Amino acid sequence: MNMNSFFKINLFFIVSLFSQTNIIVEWEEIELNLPHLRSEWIPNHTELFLSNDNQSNCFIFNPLPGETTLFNIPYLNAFNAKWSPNGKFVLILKTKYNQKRRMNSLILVDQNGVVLNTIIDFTIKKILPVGWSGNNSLHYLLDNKLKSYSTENKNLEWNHPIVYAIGNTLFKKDNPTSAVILKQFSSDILNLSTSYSTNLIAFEIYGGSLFSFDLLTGKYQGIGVGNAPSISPSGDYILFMRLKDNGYELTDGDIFKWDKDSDSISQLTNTDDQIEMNPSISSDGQFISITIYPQGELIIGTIQ
Amino acid sequence: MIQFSIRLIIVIMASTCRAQVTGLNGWDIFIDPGHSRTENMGINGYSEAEEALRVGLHLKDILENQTDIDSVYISRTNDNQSVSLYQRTNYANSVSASWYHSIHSDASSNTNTNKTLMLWGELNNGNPDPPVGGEEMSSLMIDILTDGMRISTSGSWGDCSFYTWSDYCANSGGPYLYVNRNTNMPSELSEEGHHTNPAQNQLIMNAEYKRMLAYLFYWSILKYHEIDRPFVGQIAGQVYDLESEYPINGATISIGDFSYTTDTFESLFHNYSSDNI
Repeated sequence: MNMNSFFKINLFFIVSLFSQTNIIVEWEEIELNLPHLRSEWIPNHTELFLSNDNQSNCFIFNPLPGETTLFNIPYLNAFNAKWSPNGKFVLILKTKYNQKRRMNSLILVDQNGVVLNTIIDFTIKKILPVGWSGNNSLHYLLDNKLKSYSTENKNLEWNHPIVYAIGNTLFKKDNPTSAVILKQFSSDILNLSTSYSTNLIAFEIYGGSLFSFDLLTGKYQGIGVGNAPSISPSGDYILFMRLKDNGYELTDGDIFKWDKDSDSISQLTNTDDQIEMNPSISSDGQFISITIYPQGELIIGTIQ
Repeated sequence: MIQFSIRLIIVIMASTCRAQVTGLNGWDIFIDPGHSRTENMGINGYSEAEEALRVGLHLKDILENQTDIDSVYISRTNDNQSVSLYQRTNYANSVSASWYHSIHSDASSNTNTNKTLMLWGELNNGNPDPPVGGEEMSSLMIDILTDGMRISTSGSWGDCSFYTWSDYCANSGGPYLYVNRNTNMPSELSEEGHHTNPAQNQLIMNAEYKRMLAYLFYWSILKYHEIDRPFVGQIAGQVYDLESEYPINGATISIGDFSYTTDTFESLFHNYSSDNI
C-alpha cells in the first residue's frame, strides 16, 4: 500500500449549493490538489476512486481520515475503469504509444493499487472495460467483441447482468449464452451508468439526450439534455450534469437530479462562479460526490 | 479587354492519380470540427463552424478513400448538430482514438489579421501533456498549413505558453484548451486563418479551398508518419483584375482538358452576403 498525504484538506465546511430538490443534502468541500478530477464511489465502500480524463495517476480517497492510496502504475488510463461488486478489484486500462501506434493493455488492480493480473498485454487492439457479473467474473470489449474472464479460473458468475453498448446498440447479457439486443439508437451510446443494486440504467446518446432504461420492463425514457449520469442505488433517481462551453473552455456546469416516479428534473447545484461536474452516488445511497472543474476540488454531499 | 493575373496560392492535389497510400494501418484519428451550427460568424457571413465542418468532412473522405487508415471518427457530420466540448472529448476517449485533431479558424478585432496557429497541450511546467505527440504534429502542420495558405503565421505553441494573459494553467496545471486537456490521446488544435479577415472569409466559402485545407492536414499527417506525399497534380489560385486588384467573378481557367470557373456573387456569395462587389 502506498499511502500518500499530499492531498490538502484545507476546507471542510458546509456550502449552500443545494436548492429546489426533494432530497436534503449537507455539502462539504474538500480542496484537493488534483486538477480535472473525476470521482466515483467504490461499490460497497465509503471511499472514492479519483481519476482524471487525462492520462494520469489514480487514487483512492477515504474522506473521513482524509487518507489517499496512490495507484503508481505506468501508463495508467483510468477512462471507464470498472469496480467489482465488492469494491475490492478494479478493471483498468493502460495506454502507451509505440512506433506512433496506440497500444492498449487491460489489468486487474486491487483496492491497494497492486496489479494482480495483466489480462491483455499491450496490443494495438481497442479495449474497453465493460463490468462485472460477479466478484470473480469480469467482461470487456476487445475490438468491439465481448470477452469474459474469471479471476479465479472458475466458471463465470452471473449474479449481476452486464449491460454494454457497441456503437448505437445496447446489449444485455445475464447468462453464459449469447447477449440480447435491448435497443438501437440513432447515435452512439456513451457514458453507460449501471448499479449492482437496481435494474435501472442510464446513458447518453452522442450529441443528444440522456435516457433511462429499465432492464426488467424494457421501458426507456428520455430525460433531457445532460451528461455523465449516475444511478442511485435504489434506482429512484439519477444525477447528471449540464455543461456550457464557448468552444474552447467550459463556462458553466451544474448538477441536476431526475426523479423516476415523477419524471421531473430539479437542480441540485446552482452556482455562477464554479463548474460542478461528474456526480456520483455511493452504493449505500448516503453520499454524493461532485467535482469542481478545473481546480480539482471535491464536494461531498451527505444525504439527510 | 480585361487584363488579369492568376495569383497562385498553392499547387495541390492529384485528382487524376489517386494512389492508395499505405502506412497508416493500425492508426486512427478523431477529427473534431470546432464549434457547432453557425457559431463564430465570419465578417462576410460565413461561420467558423461551417468551415471547420466541411474541412473535417473533406479530411475524413481523403483519409478513408486514399489511405489504409484503420478508422476516421468525426465529432460532427452536419450543420444541425450541437455538440459540446465534453461530448467531443468523451466520444474520442470512448472509441480509444489514437489521435485527436481539432479544426478551427481564428478571430481578431483587427480585420487585417490573417494568420495560422497551432496549439498543442502543454502543462504549466512547460512539458508536453502526456501522451505526447501533439507538439511534433503541430510543428509539421504549421509549416505545411502556412505554406499552403500563403499567409503569415503565429507559429506553433504549447497552449499554456500561448495564453499568457490567463492564470488558468497556473491554477489548474494545464493544458489550457479543453480538447488538449481532456483527451487521453495526443492532440492539437489548428487555427487556419482568420474568419474576421474579409478576403479569408470569402475564400473559405469556396468548397475547393476547404478541400485544399483538408489536403494540407492530410499531408501533415503523412509527414508525421514519414510517408511520402503522393503525386500532386492540381492547380489552385485566385484570378485578379490587374487594375482594380479585385478578384474576377466567373473567370474560366483551362489547363489541358480540364477547366474551372471561379465563384460569382450569383453562384455562391449571395448565400452569405448582400454585397455583390
